[in-house]
Amino acid sequence: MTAFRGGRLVDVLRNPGRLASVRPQDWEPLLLEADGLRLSGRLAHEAGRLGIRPPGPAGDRLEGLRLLSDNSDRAIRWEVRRIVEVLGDAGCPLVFLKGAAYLLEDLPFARGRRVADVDVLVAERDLGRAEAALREYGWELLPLEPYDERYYRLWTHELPPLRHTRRRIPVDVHHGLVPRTSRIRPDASRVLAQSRLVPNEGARVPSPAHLVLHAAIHLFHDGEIAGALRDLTDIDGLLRHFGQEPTFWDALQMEAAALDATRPVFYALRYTRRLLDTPVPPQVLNAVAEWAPGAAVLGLMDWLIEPALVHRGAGSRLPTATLRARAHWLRMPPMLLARHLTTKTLRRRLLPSQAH
Amino acid sequence: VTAAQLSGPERRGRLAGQGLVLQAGPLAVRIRTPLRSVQDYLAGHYADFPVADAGAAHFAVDVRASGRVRRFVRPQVTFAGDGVTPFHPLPAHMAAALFEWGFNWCVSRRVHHLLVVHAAVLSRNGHALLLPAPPGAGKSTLCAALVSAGWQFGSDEFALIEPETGLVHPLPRPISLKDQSVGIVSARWREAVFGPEVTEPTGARVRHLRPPGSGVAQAHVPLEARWVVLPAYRAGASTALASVPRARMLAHLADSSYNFTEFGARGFDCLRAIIDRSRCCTLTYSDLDEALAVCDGLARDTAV
Repeated sequence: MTAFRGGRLVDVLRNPGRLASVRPQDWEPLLLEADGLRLSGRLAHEAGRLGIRPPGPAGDRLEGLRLLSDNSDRAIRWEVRRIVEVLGDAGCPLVFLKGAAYLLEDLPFARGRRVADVDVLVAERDLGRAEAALREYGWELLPLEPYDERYYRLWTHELPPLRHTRRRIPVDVHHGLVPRTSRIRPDASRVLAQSRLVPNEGARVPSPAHLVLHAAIHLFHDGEIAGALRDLTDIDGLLRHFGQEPTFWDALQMEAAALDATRPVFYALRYTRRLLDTPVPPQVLNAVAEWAPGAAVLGLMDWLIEPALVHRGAGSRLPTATLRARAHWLRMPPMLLARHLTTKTLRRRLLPSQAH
Repeated sequence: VTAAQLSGPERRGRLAGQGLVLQAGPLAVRIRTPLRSVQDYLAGHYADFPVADAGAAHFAVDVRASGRVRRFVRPQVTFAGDGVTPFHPLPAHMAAALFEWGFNWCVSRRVHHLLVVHAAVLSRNGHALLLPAPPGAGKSTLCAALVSAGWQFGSDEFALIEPETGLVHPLPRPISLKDQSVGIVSARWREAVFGPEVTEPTGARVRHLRPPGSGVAQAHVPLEARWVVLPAYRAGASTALASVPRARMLAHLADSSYNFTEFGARGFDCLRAIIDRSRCCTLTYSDLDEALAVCDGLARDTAV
């Protein structure tokens, strides 16, 4: 097992044209790797866009993957419209985040990127109204342990997951970008205030700078880095697409400072460039260099990040475990963290049937 | 080249290594297993399946021993489909059956370019008879009996339908027979070869019947559906064939499909094409010979 198992996949993500030269016997391992990293749909759409249709099973699989993701996109768009209807009637301004936003904006990398749940941001004062409205119209809370439900409501930045009884797509209603307990406190009202309306969809999405910031915070501040190559390709796709807009890079730097997310942005630009050759203007790189951590931490992150991003299951356990510990550390203060981990561990030991 | 035409060491070497890729109807399936019991089962029950050309497979089925200590004390086996392990491990003597159940899981979850319907498929002169039925309706027993009575075997479990044309691809894998069905079928079909008996978690005793070579040899030829029959075995019932409204049969096929909704309107049009060219009936029976005679009658009467 080599340390950097994403070599081949990263290669074609960086340069999709290389899909044309994948040998028949190499499609299967490539698709398997992409599947484990939630990138197979993306690969299938890149191949389709370039008119690459390998004969036999590989072609069938690509076709099937495109069908699956188009189908899922249709379901997500439908869910978005229902949510806009219900929350619109309830008078709650709302913004769609992450996958749903990429889909609504029709971003190039969104095709084939399967959206597992719909993330919505509302103002904290509207949270109760939003929850009541959704529950009145057929969404229900997933059954949760009282501890977990309390954990969501007290310490996180979102409601416990809701799901429509018939359509069963999880909907996460957020009132912030990071857990209440987190080390950084980005002001989510800026995201609502600067959001833009997507023509024809009647739905709002964050500004381009906020889309990048949110993805960067999620990946490099409190999220799971292990196996998150897909999330890095999101940032890459956003930067490539919005990097063309004249005001984008200035807005990104300004909002990074305003949202207290300068370090995640530094990491986002560093690792998209290193892994995916994402174009970033030199003056932007110079400017964000001052947001870097010290040399020792940076060296450690360089060593940890790349193997962890392509990790799924076996291998590169140490980087993954280290980064998971780091994310937990950044997510909540030490005493709360100790209490949370103790409770979760005890519950898992004592009540194995109810463990998550 | 078929699986049986490979030398034993060659076949076992591929199975234990990169995988043996067999062509099962429209699907190329990579099979990996270091287990001798499964290797021997494949050498018999999959003997006539063609070995696919080098290249990608549609999915990979993997069956191997699990655990560390468990390798020696009450050994267990695990299935993985494209690296996903959806089932709990099972006792080692169930390895061959686990392979079949894992294969089923892959067809129902990993195939997205064909419409997958839970149905047995038989044919006469290139025309297909589909038997979509819930478990317990006697689908597999009727299927095996029809084969013993001269119908060409297409599939026991899945009808794989081309969304654009509505053509049905055979998938002539072993037929899964439960409890008394094994005796009923072996009484009619003297050459029947069965795999080892295992007891399902539900308590049913299951044996897999080796598919007839003629069905496997014709697996590459897609079929045009002509009859869609819902079998319903009821002890003591007299034989009755009743027409089913087309709309209802379409809804039933859609319900029996694993991926109907993925195709959107194309899926509906595809099933409609099948229903439009097929006679749609329910067949209630308790006497197998009478049921076979009814199916024969259907095949002779070509009017839809």
